[in-house]
Parts: sequence; C-alpha cells; structure tokens
Amino acid sequence: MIEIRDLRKIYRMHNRTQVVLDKVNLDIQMGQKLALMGRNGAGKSTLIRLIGKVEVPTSGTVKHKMRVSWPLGFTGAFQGSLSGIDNMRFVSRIYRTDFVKLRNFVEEFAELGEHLYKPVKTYSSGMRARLAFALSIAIDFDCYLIDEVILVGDYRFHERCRSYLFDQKAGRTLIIASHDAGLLTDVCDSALVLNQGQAISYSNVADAANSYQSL
Amino acid sequence: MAHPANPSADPAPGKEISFIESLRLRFVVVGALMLRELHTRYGRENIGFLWIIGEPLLFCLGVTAFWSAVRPSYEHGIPVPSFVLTGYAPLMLWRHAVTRSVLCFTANASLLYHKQLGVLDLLAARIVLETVGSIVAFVVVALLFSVFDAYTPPKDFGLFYLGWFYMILFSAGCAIVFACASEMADWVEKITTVTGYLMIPVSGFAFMVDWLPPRARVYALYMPSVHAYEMIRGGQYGSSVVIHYDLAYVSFTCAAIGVIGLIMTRSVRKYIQVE
Repeated sequence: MIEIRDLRKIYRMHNRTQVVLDKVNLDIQMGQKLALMGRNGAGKSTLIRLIGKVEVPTSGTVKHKMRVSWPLGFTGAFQGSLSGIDNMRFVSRIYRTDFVKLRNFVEEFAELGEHLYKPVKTYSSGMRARLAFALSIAIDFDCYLIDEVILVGDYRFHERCRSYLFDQKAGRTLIIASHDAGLLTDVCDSALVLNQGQAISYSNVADAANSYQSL
Repeated sequence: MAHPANPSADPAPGKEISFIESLRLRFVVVGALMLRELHTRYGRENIGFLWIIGEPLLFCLGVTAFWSAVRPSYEHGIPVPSFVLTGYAPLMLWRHAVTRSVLCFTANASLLYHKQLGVLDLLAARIVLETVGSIVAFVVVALLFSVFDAYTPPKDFGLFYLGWFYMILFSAGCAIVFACASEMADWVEKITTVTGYLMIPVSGFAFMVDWLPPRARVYALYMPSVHAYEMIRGGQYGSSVVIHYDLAYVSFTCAAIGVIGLIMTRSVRKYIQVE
C-alpha cells in the first residue's frame, strides 16, 4: 500500500507562487491500477515524482509499504555520458540485483542491441524509455510509476510490457499518468482526476475520462 | 524470458528498515557512486586515474626546482621538497573536494530519481574519493622523493596523522557548505575558483606560524587549516620546528562548519530542479 496524507506542493517561481497540489489524500492498494488524468500542468507528473520521492513535498507525507519504482519516463534516472551498460551496472549496484542476470534480461527485453554500449545521451527518447522499462521490470518492483511513456517502441515491445505490467495476473500496482483515455480505460481500474490543485477519485475509469474531457 | 531474481535495496513490504541495514545500504550506494564517478572522470579502459598522482608530482617538482634556483634549498632550517609536498597534498584535498562538490547535485540530478540515493551520498562519494586520492598521491610522491633523499618519514606520526585528520574534516565541511550554497545562489560557483586561489596564501600551505611576526600569528590562527598544517609540519619535522596550534579551537571550528553544512543539506533538496 502507498499512503498519501495531506500532500501539498507549492512552486515559487519569480515571486509567483503556484499551488500545484493542495491537500491530496490517497491510499493506493496492492494490485490497484490507478489512472492519473488532468490537463497539461495539472500536476500529474508532480504527483508521480512526489510518490516516487524524487521531489520533496511542501507539506504532507508519502509512505511506501511496498517497493515502488522510480518514475519511468523520457527523462531522468540515467547518466547521459555513460553507456547503457554502465548505467545498468550502477542501477544493479544500488538496487542490489545481480548484474549479469539484469543485463541478460534487459538485452533481450529492450532489444537495444549495440546501442547498449553507447552513451545514453545518444539515445532517442523512445530508446531511453525502453531501457528504463526493461531495467525496472528486471528489478521487479511491486508498484510502477509510469509517466506518459506507454506508447513507445514497436508492437513486440508493447506486448511484452502488457504481459509483464498491465495484465491483471501480473499483479502489479500501477500508477499511470497519460492523456490516452482509451489505454487508461483498458488497463486501469480506478482513476484520479487532477484539476487546479484538487484531486478527485473515481472507481470507474470511464466516468473519470468523461469528467476529465469536460474540464 | 527468464526473470531475474530480485533481492533489492528496498525493505520487504511493511517492514521498517533497521539501522544496520540502512548503514549497509549507505555503503552500497556510496560505493556505487564512487565507482561511477571514477568511470565518468577517467573512462574505463585507460590509466587516466594516475593523474590523481601526476598532478601533485608535477607541482612539487616544479616548485622545488623553482625554489632551489632562487633560494637556498633549506628555508628556515627546513628542506624545501618535503615542505612543498606536505603543503600541497592537503591543499589539493581541500581544493578538489570543494570544486568537485560545487553544483554536483545539479550535475547529477537525474540520479536523484532513485530514491535510495540522497544528496549526502553524492557528497560522501566525492569527499571519500578526493581524500583517498590525495593520500595516495602524497604517499607515492613521498616514496619517490625518498629514493632521492628528498623526503624522510615523519618524526611524530601521531601529530602528523592528527593534522591530516583535521585537514580532511575541514575539507569535508567546506565541500558540503559550498555544494549546498552553490545550489542556493548562483554566485557561489563563480567565487569558488577565486577562493581556491585565496586559500594558497591563507591556508597555511606556504608558511609556518612561527615565521610570522607575533601580531600576524593571531590572525593566521583564525584559519582552521593553519592549525592542521602546523600539526602536519610538527609531525613531519619534530622538534626542529616550533609549532603553534590549539586543539580545542580547530576541533570546534571544523565541527561547526560540518554541522552548518549538514543543516544546509536538509533544505538543499528544495533548490534542486530534477529535470
């Protein structure tokens, strides 16, 4: 479970304050597949980063009672000047997983071929996301934080992500931020719509999608 | 596709992480950061890391050569090569620890995506690496010098080590303070290089307190590193030099700088933009 209590995030930029999230309370259960909806700038990514403890909340708390991945997206998590393999080595050390097993899995899953030996900064954003997905699946978290990157890679890659992450029987907890209502309705079983700092929970994703589209 | 088994850094669901376990995790994370830092700095298939030793070696040779050309090779009754070496290695430690730490959070912001990695881990990795680097550099150059009778082992190892200890403490404290301050205000990074140059005369690297006029001694001893240098030189040359230091003062100031730095790390996270 993930417990979110009175979560608040305020950004101060050029003497203007912007309340991105205001008093968000939320429990995310094991196996729950939560869709995050909201317009650009509504705070979807911010919430994901707060849940992933990449950012520090202005006030409030986030408690993990399961193993939560880092936010999977087009950015972050890798050192651009190092090769995919060297980044993998670093990740395997800090998450204490066996490097050889990790490499074998990622080589097969991400299908990056020779690119794995090139600096990550030369990767396309799709390749970066594939590396991030493959690595995080290999580490095997209970909960995956996914920020808008589902539609990367080819059909085969999709199918693999589907069988490892999205399938009910895979039993993963997912928190997905996306604008793709179709995919969210397909994969998720509950939703959170963010608007002007407020978060409204829905137990039906289609309802949430409707209310989001009317915003 | 075989799925790799997965003991990982996170505790089992619902379990509180024990102190011992979290300490072990710190070692794992800092160790991984140090290896990574060595890779990014020196690459993985060359001997670039030897420059950790090459730089002080060249400096000591250069200064010794210059000094011997214009001055007698014994200054105030002290041989020049060992004086330059015992001065430069600790100064290099300070300078490298500080310059490597400045803006290191911004440079490594993408790593902060991994939640088990904190700002202090990034700093610890750099400080340990620079400490080890300058000590190794010192030892190698000292061995090399001693082949040519230009260096003899310290007379009083206890005092010598104590001086190094305070120098490490002082450098670590300054590195943490500079690292945090550089994220909070842009101008801090700009003045780091200047501060490095200013350290050459004021750190105690090039003089001994006893050579100064009594009135200047008081001011020199405001600087914590001057006390550390006095101990290092006192340990190196034994009773042939007169040294001035105050253990209570140097302990207090180094601890104070460290505590200020640690307090700053608690709030620095707010200033770091993680992509």
